[in-house]
Amino acid sequence: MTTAGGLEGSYRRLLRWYPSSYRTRHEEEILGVLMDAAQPGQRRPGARESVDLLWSALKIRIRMTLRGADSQAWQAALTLVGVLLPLLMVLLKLTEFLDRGAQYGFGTPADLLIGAYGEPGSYARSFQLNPHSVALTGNVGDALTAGPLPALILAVLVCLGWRRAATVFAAFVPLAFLGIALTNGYALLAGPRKDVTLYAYGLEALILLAAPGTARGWRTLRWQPSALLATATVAGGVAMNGGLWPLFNVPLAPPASALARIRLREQLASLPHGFVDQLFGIGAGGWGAWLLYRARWWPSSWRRW
Amino acid sequence: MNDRPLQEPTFLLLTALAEGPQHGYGIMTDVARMSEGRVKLRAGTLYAALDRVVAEGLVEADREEVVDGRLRRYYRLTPLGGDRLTAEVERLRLNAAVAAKRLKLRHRAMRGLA
Repeated sequence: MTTAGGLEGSYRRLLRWYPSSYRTRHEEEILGVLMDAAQPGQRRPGARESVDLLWSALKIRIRMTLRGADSQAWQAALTLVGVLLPLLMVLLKLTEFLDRGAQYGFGTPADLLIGAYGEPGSYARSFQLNPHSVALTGNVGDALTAGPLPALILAVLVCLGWRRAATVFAAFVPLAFLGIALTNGYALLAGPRKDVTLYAYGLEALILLAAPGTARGWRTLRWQPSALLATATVAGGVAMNGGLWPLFNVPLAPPASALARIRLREQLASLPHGFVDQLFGIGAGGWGAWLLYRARWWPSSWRRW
Repeated sequence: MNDRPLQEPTFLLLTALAEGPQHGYGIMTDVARMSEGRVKLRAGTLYAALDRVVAEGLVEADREEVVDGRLRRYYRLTPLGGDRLTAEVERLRLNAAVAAKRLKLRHRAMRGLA
């Protein structure tokens, strides 16, 4: 095969990643542009060029899927959700930290990093109870799923409008956890709180790919649509999790004893956390937990309980 | 009309078509020339951007030619695309004018201090 023929074949293989209807219309045209832009004597596509083609193929696939469902309203909603979701994830971690910390103590920065909220000394204990490598991979897995740092990084990237970096990072978190789980023989389902977080990262990566408006970062948030979406989310979350009563399980009478005062403080600290749990559906009997663990379509070996 | 500011590659793509229809490779080289090599659209990015602006009605296919056995499709700006580019140019011009005016005041103030 000639050099040009080899290069053309390589380009054609890359173009197979595009949707077939798109290829029917544009394959020969894009190929012409690629061959025109090729350096004399070039034998194979460059790395950047290949990544650019694969990335664009993915974007066009998602766009075409969304256009099928049509279109402008979806794009606007996705843009908004793409910015709100990481902020909600940070809120989830923050409220969980405050709730558990107020009850059981806040622990060391390392405990916080691995998401051991309200379990002081967990990080140090993991190295005492397990071989070093097991403790290390376990802690990295926990930091990815339960820890606040990935959510914070993602929220900052999204708010700055660094869409490509945010997309890569959002996809990296669940893939890295999957890699750790598969190489260490851990259960693929890590528990409601961690799993919902992992799915949220995956979902965010897809949303960022499909919604070009997220490149504007926090400026995407406008009062009216954001308030509407937040209200709909709260209403949906609350409706699917048995109403508001778990949030208001606080005694009305003033606390008589020191113990009652401590209990009241703990209950008040748990209010925001309970509220965010309602949104994500990961409270007891929540829709998220049901979807993840009770639904019949999961292979039985993946279910924990 | 969509009032979001255009991203630079999209702005340059529409600008490349403002003078008349061009094919994909022509747009790529024109964008690189206009931006003095700062913005280099690769084929994947170019066609993803074209797909978006065509879907938004800013650009449409003009004609097709076969050159050296390869298909070339030419694209042109639609009236909507022309309006969008005009609005963006006006926005940038206003911003630049304000910035230039303030910089002039700043230079004058600095000369006064010196």
